[in-house]
Amino acid sequence: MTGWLRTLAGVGRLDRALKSTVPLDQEYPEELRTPLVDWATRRGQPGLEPPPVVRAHLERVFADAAKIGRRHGFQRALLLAVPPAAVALTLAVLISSGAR
Amino acid sequence: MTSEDPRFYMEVVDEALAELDKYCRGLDRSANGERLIILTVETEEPLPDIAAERLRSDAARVSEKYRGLRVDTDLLSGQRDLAQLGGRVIHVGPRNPGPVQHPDQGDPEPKVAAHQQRLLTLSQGALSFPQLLLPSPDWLPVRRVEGQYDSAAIALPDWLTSVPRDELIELRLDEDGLMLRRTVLRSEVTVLVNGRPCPPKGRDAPFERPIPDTGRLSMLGPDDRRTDLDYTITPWVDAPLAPGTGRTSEVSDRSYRTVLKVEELLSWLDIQPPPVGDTPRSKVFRVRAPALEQGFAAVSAEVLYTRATASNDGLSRWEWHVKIFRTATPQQADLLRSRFEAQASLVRHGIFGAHGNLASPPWGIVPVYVLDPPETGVADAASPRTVFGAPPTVEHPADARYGEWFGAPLGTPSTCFVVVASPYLDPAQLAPRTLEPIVTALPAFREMARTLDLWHGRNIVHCDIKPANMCLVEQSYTLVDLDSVTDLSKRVTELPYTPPYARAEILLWDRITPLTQAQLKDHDRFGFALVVLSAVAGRDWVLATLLDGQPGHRIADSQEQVHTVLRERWKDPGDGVDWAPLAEVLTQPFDPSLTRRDDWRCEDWLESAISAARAQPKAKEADVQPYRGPYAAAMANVRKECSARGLGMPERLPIVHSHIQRQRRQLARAAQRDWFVLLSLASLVVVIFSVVAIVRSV
Repeated sequence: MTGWLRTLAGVGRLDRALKSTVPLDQEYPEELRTPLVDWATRRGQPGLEPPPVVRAHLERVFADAAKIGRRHGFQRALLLAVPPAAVALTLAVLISSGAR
Repeated sequence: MTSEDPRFYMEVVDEALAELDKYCRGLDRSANGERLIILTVETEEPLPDIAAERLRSDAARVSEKYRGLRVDTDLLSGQRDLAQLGGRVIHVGPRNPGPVQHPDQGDPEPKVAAHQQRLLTLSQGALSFPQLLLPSPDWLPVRRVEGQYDSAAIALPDWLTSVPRDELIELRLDEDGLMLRRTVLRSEVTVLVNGRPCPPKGRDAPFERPIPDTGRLSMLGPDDRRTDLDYTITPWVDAPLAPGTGRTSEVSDRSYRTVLKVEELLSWLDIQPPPVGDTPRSKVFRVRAPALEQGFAAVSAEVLYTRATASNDGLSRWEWHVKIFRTATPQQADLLRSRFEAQASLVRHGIFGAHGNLASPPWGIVPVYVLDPPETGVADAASPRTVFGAPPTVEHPADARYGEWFGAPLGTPSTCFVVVASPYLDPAQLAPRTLEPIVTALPAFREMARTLDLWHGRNIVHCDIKPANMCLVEQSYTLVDLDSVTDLSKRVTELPYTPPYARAEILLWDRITPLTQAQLKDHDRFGFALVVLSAVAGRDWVLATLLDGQPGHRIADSQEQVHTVLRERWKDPGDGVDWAPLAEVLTQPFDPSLTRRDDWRCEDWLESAISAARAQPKAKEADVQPYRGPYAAAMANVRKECSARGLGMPERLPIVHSHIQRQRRQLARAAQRDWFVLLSLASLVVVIFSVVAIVRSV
């Protein structure tokens, strides 16, 4: 995706926001490192239930990511879609009231 | 090395035994009756049981060697701060000495034999082979030996192939100096001493005469092939080393640039100062003697660890690990240098044999580089001391004062330092414990297994294989810390291993009975099996389960017990896989009768373990319930991508992390898109209604 398209779509801002809210891999606590690698590389079905400590971590990480995504989607819509709608609505109200 | 390191105590034991042996040798034993010798060892923390037990048993055996002597050991601890004395004080005396004195404070015991010892150094190019000699009526043959050589001899390593294997020359230290005679073997080879022919014994008059203290021995074959060996004989200076205090903040913290110039190639290492507060660690090295009865000398040294940055393409890695050694005398520094150069040659010998090209990592064992002492100006090396294949010149800066980094007394000559450099590698991060065997770590040991087999084939052993000595280079584990590399063609008087990564028989070795080659190779193979198991089953688990307890009573000392605990551990780790065949293969090296066989190879064993890991049937996979909680799809994707790439080693956490990040991004983008589309549609509806309203109004 070219730069201006990325800017328009808010991808760069979203990536920056995601990076700023997640720990680096070196910052994983010791009690999480081994179970996480263990679970991630264990053979068998991909959907194997993670150990509680891994599950809690991943659910928190993914929930945060979804929240950030929702917030950015809302902000983007506010910037790009809501203003035309508001203008159109205002015009419609003004013209309708003027016509009467 | 601090008292928290188990090797510290083993070094204390080694040092104490060396002191005891030296003391006993120097005694006049002509008097009748039994004499009592007290060996006092003082440390800050009590010696561990295993070290104390070995000290007592070894001391008793040393006393058995000498008629009329009885040795009692006295172990003291916690009485005073010994940090300034290297953490230990050792004293040997005829009676209880009361307050123990450090050598710096004046040793009351005379060193009777020390002044008689001479250091004979045979050298070829930059490689030298020092040995201690005592005056003796016995002739000592000079020979290249293959395998453990039990008779007294001035032994050269078997890989020094330019020297004939036969005993052509015999040497003896006399009161007049060094005596030489030519044996009757291979009379077609002409032996020259400083250019003078030396006829064989029995032909005409036997050549048996003193030779100069310095000279050259030459062997000229019938095909005009000539081999030169330089020799020097010097008095042995046994000086104590005053402990350094380490670098203080007042000392300049600039780095020193060491330049290596090899033909057209110019490279340099910027050696960084060690961190302020790092105190030098003490080390003890031994100098061998041709005959065990002549004992050995213990050389005390201090070492500082630091980093260096390489510039230019000549050095294939940017970050380097540097050890700087300090000794009491230049002679001892030369000894250390020759020892490291011999070890570097062994490493190059093995690696060249394995790959033919050092410049192509990964290596099974990391190479070492020995640099010249930091003298002012440029020093020409007589033969390669690096892997460049051509003689380099080494230049240290004129103002390099490594003594300041050690906190050594002012005026320490620069020739008392040895600089050893090797590529810096990231230490392996083995998982402390794992739920199931990390079989994907097994292929990473292939290179190490191949190299060990090659070394064993050439009678070279690493001796100190343990998780802490492993690094990860790309996808392969590599062995580092080559202080312990041992050439089995020489008599093994020390075994620098780390407890508990050794078989019980090694831990209980009396240091007098010669170890066989099979035992020493088995020691390496046992260590290799332990590090493989540490990667597969967890480092802490191996330590706590297999290696806990007294030697001979540990689980690792019984193949059957290892098999039982592995089967129990992997009985049902939750992945629905039967790991019994893998456990069966992994326990094989715990049977010494297997690993002492000449045809046992680390590589074959590793390949069979990899095959056993691949062949596991996924019998119970259908029983495993998939996770159906929130974000199940994202979690499943993480597992799918990680396991598809054959990951598994804890070093791969960053890659697992990157897959989690990818799923995170996808989730966030999906949420962003959903909300944007939803609100945009709502806005569009508003716009449409507004336009319709406007049209109707107009």
